[in-house]
Amino acid sequence: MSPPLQEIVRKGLSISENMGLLLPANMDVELLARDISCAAEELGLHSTCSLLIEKIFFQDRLKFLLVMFGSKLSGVNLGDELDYIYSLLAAGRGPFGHKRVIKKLREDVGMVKVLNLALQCQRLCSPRKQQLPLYSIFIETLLKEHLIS
Amino acid sequence: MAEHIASKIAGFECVLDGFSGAGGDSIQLSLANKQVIANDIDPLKIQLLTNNAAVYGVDNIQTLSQDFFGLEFGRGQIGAVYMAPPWGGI
Repeated sequence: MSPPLQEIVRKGLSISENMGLLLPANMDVELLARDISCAAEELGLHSTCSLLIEKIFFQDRLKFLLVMFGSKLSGVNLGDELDYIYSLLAAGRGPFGHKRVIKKLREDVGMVKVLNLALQCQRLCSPRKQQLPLYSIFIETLLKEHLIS
Repeated sequence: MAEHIASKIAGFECVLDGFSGAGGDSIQLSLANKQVIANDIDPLKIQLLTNNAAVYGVDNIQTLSQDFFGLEFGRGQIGAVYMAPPWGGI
């Protein structure tokens, strides 16, 4: 596929934080999400990581994927994204009590990074579930990655 | 489809259509936004777009004919960017 998707995404996001992209239906969605996530992280787009992918049918056949990135296009706002991260880190143990820390981290390192770390910690947490709350693993991972001192 | 896309990308001061072609999407975007910058590397496509815009009575499309990767804009100048790369279509 030429020009490469990764370059298109990076250039698009360097022009605006709100991006619409019409792609062929056979596009690998995981690859697409990875490319957008990488570009957003590289460009330091801290405001959002919300992504909406819509299937476009023509004469009953799937023809395109319409991708919307950015809080002004996807309909997902910053509060929704933060709430999702709180729910991930609270892991069903009641209300999440470290919201200010997460907000500060989002400002410092970006939403994409915080979300990726939260998901990574969720995966790490499964075998250690009984030992540590997920939030502790989150902070431990951040420290390991030298994101906070 | 262009109408559907324009319903999602609406209400911006300025929208860039990075791979405009003959302007089907640009024209719909121009109806939903204050200004559209339509770019296509092929000047013939831009000429077609200009004609099509005139047919639809649209006067808020600014055209460029450059390589998308060479485009430069000031910070905040473009509210949203729309891209339909030329990888084939219906």
